Amino acid sequence: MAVLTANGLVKIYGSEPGALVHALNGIDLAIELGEFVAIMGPSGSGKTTLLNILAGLDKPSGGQLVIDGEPVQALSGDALALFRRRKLGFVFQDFNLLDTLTLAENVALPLALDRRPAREVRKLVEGVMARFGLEESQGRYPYEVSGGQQQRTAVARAIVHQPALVLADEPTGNLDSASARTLLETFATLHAEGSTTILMVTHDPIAASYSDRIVFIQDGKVYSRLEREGTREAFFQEILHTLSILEVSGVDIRPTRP
Amino acid sequence: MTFGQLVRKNVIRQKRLYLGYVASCSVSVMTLFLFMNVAYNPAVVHGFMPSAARVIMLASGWIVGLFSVFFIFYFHAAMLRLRGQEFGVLQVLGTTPKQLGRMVMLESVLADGVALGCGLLLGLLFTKLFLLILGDLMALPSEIPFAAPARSWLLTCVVFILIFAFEAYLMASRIRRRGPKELIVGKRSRQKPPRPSILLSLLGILLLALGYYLAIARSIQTLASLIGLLVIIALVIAGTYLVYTQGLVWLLMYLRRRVQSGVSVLIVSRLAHRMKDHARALTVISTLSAVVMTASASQLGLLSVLKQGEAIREPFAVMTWTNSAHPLALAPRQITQKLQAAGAGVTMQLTGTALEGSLQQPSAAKGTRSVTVVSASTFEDFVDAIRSHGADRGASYPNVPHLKPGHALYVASFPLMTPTQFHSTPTTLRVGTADEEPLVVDGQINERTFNFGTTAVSDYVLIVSDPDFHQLAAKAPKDSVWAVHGWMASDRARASSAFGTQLPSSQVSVVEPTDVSTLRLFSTMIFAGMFISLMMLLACGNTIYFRLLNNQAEDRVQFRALRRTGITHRELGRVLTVEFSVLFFLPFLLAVLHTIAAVIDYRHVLMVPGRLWPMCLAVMLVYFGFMIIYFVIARFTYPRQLRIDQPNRTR
Ligand SMILES: Nc1ncnc2c1ncn2[C@@H]1O[C@H](COP(=O)(O)OP(=O)(O)OP(=O)(O)O)[C@@H](O)[C@H]1O
Ligand SMILES: [Mg+2]
Repeated sequence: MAVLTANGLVKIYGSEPGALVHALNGIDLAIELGEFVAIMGPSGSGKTTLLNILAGLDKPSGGQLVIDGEPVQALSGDALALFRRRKLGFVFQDFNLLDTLTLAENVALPLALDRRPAREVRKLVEGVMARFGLEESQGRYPYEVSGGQQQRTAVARAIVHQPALVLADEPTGNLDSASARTLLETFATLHAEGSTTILMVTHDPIAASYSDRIVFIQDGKVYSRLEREGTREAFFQEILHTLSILEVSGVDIRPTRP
Repeated sequence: MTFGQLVRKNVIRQKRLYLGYVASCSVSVMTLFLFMNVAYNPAVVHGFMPSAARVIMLASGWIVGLFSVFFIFYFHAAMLRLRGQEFGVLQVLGTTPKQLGRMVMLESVLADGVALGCGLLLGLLFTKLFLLILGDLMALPSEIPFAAPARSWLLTCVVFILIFAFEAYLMASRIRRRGPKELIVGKRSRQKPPRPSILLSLLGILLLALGYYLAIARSIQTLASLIGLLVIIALVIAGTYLVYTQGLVWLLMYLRRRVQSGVSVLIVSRLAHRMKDHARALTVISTLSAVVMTASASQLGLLSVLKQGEAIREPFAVMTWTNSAHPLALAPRQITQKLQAAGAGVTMQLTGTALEGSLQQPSAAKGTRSVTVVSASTFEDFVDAIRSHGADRGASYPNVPHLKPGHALYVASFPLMTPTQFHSTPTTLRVGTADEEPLVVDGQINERTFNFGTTAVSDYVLIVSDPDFHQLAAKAPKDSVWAVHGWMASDRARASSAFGTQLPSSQVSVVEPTDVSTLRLFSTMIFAGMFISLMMLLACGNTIYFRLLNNQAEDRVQFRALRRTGITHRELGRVLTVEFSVLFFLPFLLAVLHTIAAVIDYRHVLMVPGRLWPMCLAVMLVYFGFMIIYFVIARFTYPRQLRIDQPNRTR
């Protein structure tokens, strides 16, 4: 079953004819239940734009988008917010935890906003945090723990309500390599358990190698796809190889540039 | 880019920040300029209107100047705090502290210059209007000619240039002393989870209660001095501050453990964390609001008291005092006839006997005081007459308790200012040339029963028991015994014009129409007061505005993240509504409590009912109205300024 289907997504910024930016030029994407997909691409290729559209934060200029059976474009305003609250989980590059809430409260936030009963919330939160090795720091505030712990909390927050799809924008971008590895292993575990569908945008080939499918985009178009077949190490080598081709072809596309 | 350009661009780009600051400075300049323009208007100086009105204008001007100093400092400091990160980054990039100081200095000079110019211009525009209204209030025969004398230009400019220069220098040196780390992380390192102490919370409530108790129960008159008043104010300010920093935070932390679902989680935690930062501003606003409301209510209340003053000064339409040495040209019956002929409608006529005595003052105030000695039954007759003729006055008269032989009651007929002198105080009384008689004064009544200006004897009355009175009267020499006659009339205005100058004022008191000029002067004072109140109100609004700006950057990040987590606009709206309500209406609520305590105290001094409470309520409602306007504007512009829904900018 497809959790997400996108057909010919187009996004054009600006309104004056001379100054239009074609951030997305017809993206097709399908993600199945339980998949872990990474999106890679050079800076300015449209990754963040795509993610924002998938999250319903921005409207596409054209194309269709269906998530978990719901056509996202048909939703608006509060319905869209409720859709995000129940069906999506979000992990940001800079964590975005609320400084005024403890880690446990941050994780509980999506459930609390949905007015779930307090006991159920506590049980779910404790379960998720224990899984990410955060039991000790439940009562601490975001600025009292490390970046890695903050990001794991953010992941806990993104999955605590069992969303259909978890969206992550450069989740390892602000982490040191050890913390990044812990985080990615968390993603891998979630994926291995088979329940969570993850879409991650990243620059980092190591991060991408944890996924089982990679979509490369360039200039707002899907440029290439890569599926993992063997071990992670092998996949990593394949990614590096694809990236090197991408870079070469990038030069080929714009031969006039030095 | 040169340094000067950097400074200029900074001010222009930060225009929203500077707008509030420049606006409040301009209003301060404008208000001072207005008052000075009136006070130094040549027509006014040369006696176009009562000199007291001019004094009011001058005093108001100086009050404005004084408060301006505080607010300009406060606002500028708040504004620079908002830009801590910017200054920190500049320092990291290699801007020397000296350069930074110079930048702040130059920025202030630029902003203050604009403020001074705008203020003077606004002042000039409003002076004409101000003069027109003033002329109307004072009922002047013709308009006060417009003028903007050199003196007022000079004074306004000198005062504000001094304030600005001092302030710019101070701010610049403050920034210079702070290191880049402090500037950048200053905000975050303060964000510790609040740890309210229950002990301090209780102390806060205790201080407030003590302040209120002193004001209400002991009142200004017993504390008897400015120091007492200052103690009360200090207690209330300290109490308010503790209530905000400790009590309220404690309550919020308690709620935080209880509330576990819905947006309330957000609201409670955000408030709990920020309350400590808000506390200083909220304390300032509460205190200032209380001062403004108390001052306005008491001024307006005093006006109504003045209007009632007529009935208080002269409970009887006509009152005469005669004895063998001081007969009157008109007999009592002729006076009644004259009153009736004038259409005054005599409703009651009373007669009584009084003795001229001199009372040894209690040890605190040495010497003797001449008193009018009356019997308890005579006094009660007169009080009954007042009770039956003035519906709202009668209730406040206390009943005269039964007096034992050798005991007396002291009546101080000045309800406006009445220190309590007697309280079971033993003393002596001499009537005429007779011997001194020992007696005990049981207590004091602070009400007027005989008309003001019954100078034949004294405005202070001593009530003795009926048998004592007869004994005293028997011993008293003839010229110390007086007959007092009082008339009640249904039309007091006509009664006042029934006699012309036929009767000597030393023996006869005829009701006087209220002194119109006093009322006019009072209106002027209230008008000037209104201007100052308005300025203070603006200052309060501004203080809250800066508090909001302080959180804006943080809120932007938070709210955008929350939008992604799936919060609806309505829910975000609720968060803001509750937070802003606390910010705007909580200080108002505390200010209302302070005001009520202050007005109760003020009533003790006045001892006249007046219309103090209705006036107080009216002032509070107006104030509340202003707060609602501020609230609505802030509540609806804030989300737009956050630009939550611009998706591509996560920071
Ligand atoms: N609000 C906007 N208005 C105009 N153009 C925009 C806007 N947002 C993004 N763009 C343009 O759209 C293109 C894609 O931007 P996007 O942020 O999606 O890139 P990205 O792949 O996320 O890059 P990076 O890896 O650097 O984050 C870029 O050329 C960018 O300049
Ligand atoms: Mg991006």
